[in-house]
Amino acid sequence: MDRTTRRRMLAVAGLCVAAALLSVPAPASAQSTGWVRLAHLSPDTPSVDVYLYAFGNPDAKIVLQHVGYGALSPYQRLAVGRYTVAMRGAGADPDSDPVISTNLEVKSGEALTVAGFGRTASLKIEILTDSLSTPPGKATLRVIQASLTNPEVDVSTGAGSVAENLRFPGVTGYQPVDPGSTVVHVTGDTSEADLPTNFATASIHTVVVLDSASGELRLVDLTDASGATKTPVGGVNTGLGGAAASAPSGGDRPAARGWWLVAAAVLAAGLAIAWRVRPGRRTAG
Amino acid sequence: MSRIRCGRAVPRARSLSGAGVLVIAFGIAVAGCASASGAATPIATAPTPSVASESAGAGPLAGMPGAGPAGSPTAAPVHPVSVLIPAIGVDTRLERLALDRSGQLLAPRNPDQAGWYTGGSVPGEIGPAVIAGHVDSRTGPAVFYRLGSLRPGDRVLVARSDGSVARFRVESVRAFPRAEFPSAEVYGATPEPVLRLITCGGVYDRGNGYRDNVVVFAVPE
Repeated sequence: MDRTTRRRMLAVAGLCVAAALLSVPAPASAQSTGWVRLAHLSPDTPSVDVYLYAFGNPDAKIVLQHVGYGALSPYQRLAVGRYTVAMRGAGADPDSDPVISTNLEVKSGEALTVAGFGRTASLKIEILTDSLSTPPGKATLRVIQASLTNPEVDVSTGAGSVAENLRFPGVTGYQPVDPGSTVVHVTGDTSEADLPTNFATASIHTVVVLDSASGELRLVDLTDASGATKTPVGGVNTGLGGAAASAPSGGDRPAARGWWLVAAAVLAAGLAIAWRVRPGRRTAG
Repeated sequence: MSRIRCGRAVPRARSLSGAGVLVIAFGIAVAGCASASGAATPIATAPTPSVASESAGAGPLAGMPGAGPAGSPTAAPVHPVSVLIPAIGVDTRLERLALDRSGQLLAPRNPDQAGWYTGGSVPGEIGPAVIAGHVDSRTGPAVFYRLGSLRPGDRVLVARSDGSVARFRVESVRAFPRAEFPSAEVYGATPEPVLRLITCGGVYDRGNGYRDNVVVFAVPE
């Protein structure tokens, strides 16, 4: 074996070990998921079955049956990637053509509300991006206008107006509100409604304006997300050094690292052998 | 640094690119396993999707954990009482943790006991619940000595003062220099009840303590 070959083999081995070491902490699946909640917000559309598929996979990942107007599912945590949401009439054959469907992208650490929205005649699937942050010391509020009996509403809290002349089907952006207890007040042409609510610091709310069965306004307050009321500065000093010599160093298991080294070594050896068996490679580069 | 060195080594021999591909494939396989075990199991059927607090006065409906109002005015204050982590033999009661004058999170007084940050969420409620514990005392290992050896899928149970138990599964375990602590990721808003367990790790410095924080990110079981 000449010097160049040996040097190359060392480089391969070194690269493998380095790559293995580098990639040990990589399985940080920390933010490789996002969230989706599914909703029916079309007042004149009967109940539906809602299907969520990983894009291109005909086996549904989530099926919500008999979802009626005004229903919103809890958030479902999903791996990042493309999905398809389809709605069929309640009880319809799962293989039948959906009434409506759309594709969406779940991104890392992002939350979506996916709702059948609008009148039946112009039904569409609305994909709303849900906020996951608030200004320091505040809460935030968004309003979804899904009432058809009162197609235009004004929305306010004790602190003042949130939205005026909000038309169906409509959504406001998130607005900062002061934390604390208040009453969300909604006024339409023929009806009005109050909803006592509490905005915790760093909480993110969506109020949904709906029609009740009797044609009155009905309000729903959803806590989209919530954070720490006060974010501490920096990390935490949670060690006094008494086990420092042997203290575990971090997020990876020594055993796991060992397996990586073994895998890397095997790989390196295999490549080195392949190199020698196929002399054509030696002239390459 | 070593990443750069790796990059420079590649052009020297064409077949090295093959090694790169294989190693990367390994990495993907492992990451795939990790996320699969950490992710929520697909929900088969939820027959009655439901809504949160309503003007009609109905409370949060059953089968919808964490979707209720964020602390309705009349709710009794619930707090976490103890933490159980079977994989590393942790069973600890909880202190309450506050911030010091400079805004840093104070560590528990008792090294054998973890603490709950009262400014975070109550475990099981929407948002990040934060529990910190010492890796060691002045004389030896402390309550979270083995926290860094948790792996995705391990269970963490938090008993609450209302008698219920909030159940979590580890999604990831990561170490950060304390100077670069990922505050937004640990304390930022989340749409479901999550748990963060924090301890120290890395090199110990007599003057400044441990260089790193080890953070366990856990999601509802």
